Amino acid sequence: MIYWAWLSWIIPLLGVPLVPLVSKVDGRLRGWLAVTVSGLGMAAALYGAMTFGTSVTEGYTLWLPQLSVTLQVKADQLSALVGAFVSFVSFLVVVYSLGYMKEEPGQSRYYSLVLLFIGSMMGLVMAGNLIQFYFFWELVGVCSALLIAFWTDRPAARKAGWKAFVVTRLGDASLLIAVIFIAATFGTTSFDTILGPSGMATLATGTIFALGLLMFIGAMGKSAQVPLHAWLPDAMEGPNTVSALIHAATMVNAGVYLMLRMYPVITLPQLSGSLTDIILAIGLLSALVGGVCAFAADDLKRVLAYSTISQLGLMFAAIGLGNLDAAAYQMISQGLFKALAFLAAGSVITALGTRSINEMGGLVRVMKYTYAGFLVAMLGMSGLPPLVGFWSKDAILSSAFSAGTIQSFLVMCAFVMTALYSFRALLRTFHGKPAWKEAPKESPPTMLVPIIVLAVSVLTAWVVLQAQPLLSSYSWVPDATTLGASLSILALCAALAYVAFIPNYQKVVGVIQSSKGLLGLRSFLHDGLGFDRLYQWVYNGIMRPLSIAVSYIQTGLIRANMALLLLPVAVLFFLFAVGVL
Amino acid sequence: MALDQSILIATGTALLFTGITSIAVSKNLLKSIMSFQVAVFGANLALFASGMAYGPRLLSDAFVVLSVLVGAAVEAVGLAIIVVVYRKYGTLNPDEIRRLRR
Repeated sequence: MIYWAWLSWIIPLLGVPLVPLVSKVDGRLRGWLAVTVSGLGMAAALYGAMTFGTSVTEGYTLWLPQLSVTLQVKADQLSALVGAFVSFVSFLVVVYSLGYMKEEPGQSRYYSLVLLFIGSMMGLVMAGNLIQFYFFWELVGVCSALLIAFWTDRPAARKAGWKAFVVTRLGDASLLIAVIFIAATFGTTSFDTILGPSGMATLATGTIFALGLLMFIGAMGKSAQVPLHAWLPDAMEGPNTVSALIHAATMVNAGVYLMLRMYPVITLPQLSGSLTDIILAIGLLSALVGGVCAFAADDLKRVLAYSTISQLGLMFAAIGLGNLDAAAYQMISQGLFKALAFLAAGSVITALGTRSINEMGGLVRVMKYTYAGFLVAMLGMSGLPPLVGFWSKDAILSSAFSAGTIQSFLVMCAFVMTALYSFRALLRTFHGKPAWKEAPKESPPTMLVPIIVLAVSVLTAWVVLQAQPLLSSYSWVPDATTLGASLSILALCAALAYVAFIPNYQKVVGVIQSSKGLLGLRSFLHDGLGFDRLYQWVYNGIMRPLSIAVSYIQTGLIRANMALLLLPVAVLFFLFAVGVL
Repeated sequence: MALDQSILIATGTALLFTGITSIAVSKNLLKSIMSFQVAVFGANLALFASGMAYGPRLLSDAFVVLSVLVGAAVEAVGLAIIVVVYRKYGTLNPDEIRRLRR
C-alpha cells in the first residue's frame, strides 16, 4: 500500500469542511489550519517523491462493483515528481495568504476553496483512471472560477469568473466526449490498460487521432492555449495568491499534465506524427501570441498572465517536438518562477495599491527583498544559466535544432519575446524614475518568507531535479550551440530593454505617441489581438439569438410547461407502440 | 415474473402521467409538489422494474435508492421555495404569480 499517494490528496480534501468549523472557535485559526493541512499534504507528497521506487497502481472499489467505478491512484515517476512540486508551491502560497489575506472578509470561503483547489489538483495528478481524472479536472475548474470571482462585490471579478468557467467548459466538453468513448470501448478507463499495448493502440488510426485531438482541445482550454486562452488574462481580477495558484501550481498545469499522461498515445507510430505536429503548431502560436501581448500590457499582473500563456505554449511545443522530459521540466521551472513572480508582484501591488506599471518604478531601494525575489523570477524566466528556467529552455531549443529550421526559428523568437518582456517588467517596476509620491513599505514576514524560499528554490532546484528518475535521461551538460544561442539572446535583450526603458524611455514614448500606426498597434496589442472581440461576435451573432429563441418556450405558466413536457413523452410512447423504436 | 414486471411498469407509467397531469391542473403550489413526488415515484418504480429483466439486480436497486434520496432533496428545496413565494406574494396560486411570465 502506497500511503503517500493517497494521503497527499485526501488530507487537503479532508481539511475543506474543517475550515468553517474552526472559525467558530477563533477566526485566526483558519489560516493556520490551512497552512497545517497543506503542509501535511506536502510532507506526504515530498516523502513519496524522495522514496519513490517502482511504478504502482492500486485501487479500491467502494461502491457498486458491477459498474467497475474504482478509486485508483497511479504512483509513477511523473506523478511523484509533479505531485511534490504542486504541493510545495501550493503550501508556500497558503503561507503567503496569511499575510496577504489578513484584512479581507470571507476568509472561511477563501481557505476552504483553496484547500479544495489543492486537494483536487493533487487528486488529478495521482488519479489512476480517466474518470477519476475527469472528476478532479472539473473540480479544479470550478474552484478556479469561484476563486477568481472571490471579491464578489466587484463586477469585473464576477465577469472574469464566469469567463474562466465558460471558456474552459469548451475544452472540458471535448475531453468528456473522449472519456465516455474510451470508457464505452474498453469497459475501464484505468491508465495502465488504455495506455498499454492492449489499450488505445489497438483502435483504428482515425479513432486514435480523433480521441487525441479531443483530449488536446480539453488541454487547450485548461492550459489557456490560443484560441481558448482569453480567460487567463482576465483571471487577474482574483486575489494575487489565487493567480499564483492558477498560474503556477494547480490550474493551467492540468492540461499539460493530461498530455504528458497521454504521451504514449499521441506518439503512437501509426499516427505518423500528425497529432504532435498539431500540438507543436498550437504551442508555438500560443508562445508567440502570449509573448507579444505580454510585451505590450501595462498591467503588471496581465504581463505575467500573458507570459504564462507563452510559457505553456513552449511546454506544448516541447511535447510536439517529442521531448517529454523537457515539457515536464519546463512545467516545474515555470511553476517555480511564475509563483515567485506573482508573490513578488503581489507584494508590490499591496504596497502601492495599483497594478499599472506606469505608476511604479524605482522601487529597488525601498523594497529590497521583493526586488530580489522578482529579479530571480525574471532571470529564471528568461533562462539565465544555471537557474531552473535555463535547463528546460536549453532542452527545448536543442530538440528544436534537431527538428528543423522553422521550428528553431520560432522557438528562438519565443525566447527573444520572453527575455524582452521579462526585462521590461523588471525595469519598469523596480528601476527608472519613481512614479509614486509616498514611499511604500516592505511587506510583512509572512509574505516575504515564501518569496525568499521560492527564490532560493528557483536558484537551486536544478540540483534537486538532477536526482529525479524521470529526468535521469536528461542531458546535464549544455550543448555549446544552444548555450551560446540562449546566452547571446539574453545579453542582447537585456541591453535592448535597458536602452529602451531606462535612459531613452521618454523618447520611445514620444515616438509611439507621434505615429498613428504605432498607437493603433499598441491598442491592438492591449486588446490581446482582438480575441475578445471574436468571442463577443460569436456571443452576439449566434448564442444570443439562439437563447432568445429558446426562451419563447418558457412561458412561466406551469400548465404550458407541463404540456410541453408531456408532448415528447407522448411522441416516444407513440413511436414505441408503432414499433419504430 | 414477467407478469410482475409488466404490472410494475404499467403502475409506474400510470403514476408518472397522473403526477404530470395533476401538476398541470392544480391551482395550489403545495399540491404541485405532492404531484411532483407522485411522478418521481412512478419513474422510480419503472426503473426498479426494469432492473428485474436483465443484469445484476442490486445495480438498479442502488440507483432507485439514489433517485429516492435526490427526490427527497428536491422536494425539500421546492418546499423552501414555496415558503418564500408565499411570504412574497401572499398566495400559492401559480396563475397569480406573474414575475416569471413573459
